Amino acid sequence: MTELVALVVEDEPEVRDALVRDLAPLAGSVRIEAAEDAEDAAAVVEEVAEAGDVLGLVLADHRLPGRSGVDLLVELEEDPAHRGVTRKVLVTGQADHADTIRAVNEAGLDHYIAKPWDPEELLAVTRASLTDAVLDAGLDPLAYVADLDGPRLLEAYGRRSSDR
Amino acid sequence: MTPPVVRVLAVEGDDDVRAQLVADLEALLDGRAEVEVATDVDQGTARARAAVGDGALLALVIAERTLPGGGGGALLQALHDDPTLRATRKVLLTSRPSLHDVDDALKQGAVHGMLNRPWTRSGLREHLGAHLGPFLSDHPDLQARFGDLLAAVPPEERHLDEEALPDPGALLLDPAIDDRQVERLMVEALDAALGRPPRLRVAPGTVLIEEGDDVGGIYVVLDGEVALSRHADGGAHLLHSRSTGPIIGLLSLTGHSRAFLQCRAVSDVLVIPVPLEQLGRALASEPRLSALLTRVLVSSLARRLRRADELQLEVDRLNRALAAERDELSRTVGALAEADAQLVNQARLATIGELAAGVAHELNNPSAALQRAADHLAEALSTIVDPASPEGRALEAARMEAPMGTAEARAARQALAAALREAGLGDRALADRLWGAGVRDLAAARALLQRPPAGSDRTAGRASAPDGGAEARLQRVEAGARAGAAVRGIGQATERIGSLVAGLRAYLRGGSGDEPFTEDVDVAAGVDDALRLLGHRLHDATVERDFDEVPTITGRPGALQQVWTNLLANALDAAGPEVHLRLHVATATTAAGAPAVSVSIIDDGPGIEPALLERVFEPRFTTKHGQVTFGVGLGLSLSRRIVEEHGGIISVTSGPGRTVFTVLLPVTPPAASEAR
Repeated sequence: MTELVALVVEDEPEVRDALVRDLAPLAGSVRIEAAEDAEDAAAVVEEVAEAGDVLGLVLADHRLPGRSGVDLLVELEEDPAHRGVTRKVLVTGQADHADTIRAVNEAGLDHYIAKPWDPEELLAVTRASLTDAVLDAGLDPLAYVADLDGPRLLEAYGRRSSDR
Repeated sequence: MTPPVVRVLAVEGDDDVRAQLVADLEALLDGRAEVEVATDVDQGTARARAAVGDGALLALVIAERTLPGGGGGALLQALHDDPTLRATRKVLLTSRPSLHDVDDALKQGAVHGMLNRPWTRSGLREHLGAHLGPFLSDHPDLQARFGDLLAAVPPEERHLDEEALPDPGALLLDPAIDDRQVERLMVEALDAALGRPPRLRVAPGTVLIEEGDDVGGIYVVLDGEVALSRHADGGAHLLHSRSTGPIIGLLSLTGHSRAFLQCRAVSDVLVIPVPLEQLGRALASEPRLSALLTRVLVSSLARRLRRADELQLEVDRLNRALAAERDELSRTVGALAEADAQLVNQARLATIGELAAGVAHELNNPSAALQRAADHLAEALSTIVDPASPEGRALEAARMEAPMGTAEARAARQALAAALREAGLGDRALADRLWGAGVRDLAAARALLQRPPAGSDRTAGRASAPDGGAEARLQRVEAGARAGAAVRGIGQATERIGSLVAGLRAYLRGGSGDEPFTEDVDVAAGVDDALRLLGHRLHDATVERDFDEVPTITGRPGALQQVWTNLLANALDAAGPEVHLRLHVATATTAAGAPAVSVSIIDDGPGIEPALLERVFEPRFTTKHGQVTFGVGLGLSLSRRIVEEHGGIISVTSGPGRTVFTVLLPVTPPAASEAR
């Protein structure tokens, strides 16, 4: 069965754990993966692609050891396997102006969440982004009605049924 | 025959001045000559003529320049025009050191001298002698009477020795005749042609020709020094003093009737005024004079030309000096501006330092409160939750768990999911929940889910959901693990705040310079601390650590940490955030052979220009003008000071792609006991 995956990229263990925990309400239908740097994130992206799963969202910290979160998002944007589906959100406490502009212009950044984050906002953004991804990837909307944006998914389901 | 009466006439309108003049003249003449007086031009003329009528010899007339009735110049001119008084010496009494409005009389030969007012008796005596001498040259019988006054009788009037003089061509060109000789010959020729025109004696400071005057003739300078100057740009500019030559008024000879320069006597000067008309007459009557005058003029002009060349060179030199001074000035202004900017920068850094110290201090309280809260929470949780229960064990395990890399964790989680699926216990979502609850293997999962042994009546389709009791247990265990992880997270975050604050305080304390030397300073740990302090800037950097086991040293840990921070920050500034840093800590020996620790910080930046390399340790040298970054701007000079306080050496070598800062610290600083 095709799984929907959200990837959290954050180098500090406590922060990473907290993010994953805050996304736990979605865990019933969304697989939450975590990576500590861009390298490991690329490994997750590859695994997801090999398994035929759908990478719906990447939540990346700006500051990472090695390549930055912005670099990672730009690479994702350039990869045709994910373009058009994977939503990109930058979670950062310290992004300078130039980097943020680059993320928006080159990575097609969908959202920007400042640290410290509000868990409600994080969940809302994640839900909206994943809902978009579900629709764009053509996944079964009904499987995600409980955890994601139910009304929109149902509406899309209805439209799809009537199109047939 | 009785010797003739000699008379001296003093013409002065001011009663006091006249009385003083008469008193001085009578004292000097002591009855050898009569002193007559007059008070204005008409009276003066009358008294002078009366002297002739009386059969007396009028030897000298001293007339006040500003005499009522037309001035002394006019009086003397009138007397001069009288053939019976031609030989009488005529002197102007003046307080104005200029010949400006009397030069007509001068040019006519009507004035033989200028007596400056106020005079001294000795000055008057010289004048008397100078004028009585020429006058008495026609009366040799009287010379004895005035013997003591006749200091210097001018050379006997000589007539040109026609035979001795070379022809005009030789006069003009003969190099054997020197300038002095030519000048003397010219004066003799002039005297011969004009019947010894009168000499004029003037005091220093007297203006012979005023700039802009109509010049009707020349002055031949016989003795003394005159200066030529020109008024321009609000001041007088001296053009010639030693280069004048004996002929003054040269330009008037070329047809410019207005005086181009001011001519002023610098010393006592004896001149012959020669009006152009007289000069023309002399040249016509004495053919050799032309050659002599030409030669004098040529050498005078040559002298002035050389002077002009010298002036030009002087102007060039001054211009160069001026340009150099201007450059120097602009450099000084630039240096001042730079120093000012650095002062502002330092003041800003000091403020930032105080602010940072304040923030660090204030952070201690909430950080300590947080740490205590985490401890209390853990204590309270261990009371509420039975440590032996599954959730209690999960709590303790999560609290103590060593952090695991994400890749490792993912693999382990996938293995757990596979095992669960294999065992028919549940799917990936359940595996994730179990993982989050601290369940790491199938046995633990089994124990938690407490499923009945295999072969139960459950259908395969329901296999992924635990029974009600298991779900409740799982939730409790999940909560326990979450609580444990939260306590651990608080503790670690607090610890990080604490270490950042401690690093910051150590850094600031080092900057204040009053940190004591302590033993057992771990150099490598200090470098690591600096790395941690700069962690926020090192995300994109590659750091290669090559730390040997080194002995601890005696030193100031905070100050040393500042050195490492400075060096690292410099490397980052120079090479950019993606710098490849290599850090070496190794044992070494000092030049004196004492045990030491060496720290090398190598970056792959563009390198330091050789010209700047010598200056990087100079006080306040920085290539980062106006930029305030943490710890930077205090700079390498401070680092050197700190290293040297430790008896160490800091050095740098640099080339493109490789800059090495090396710090060598003796294990025991030679002056540790004396240093602060």
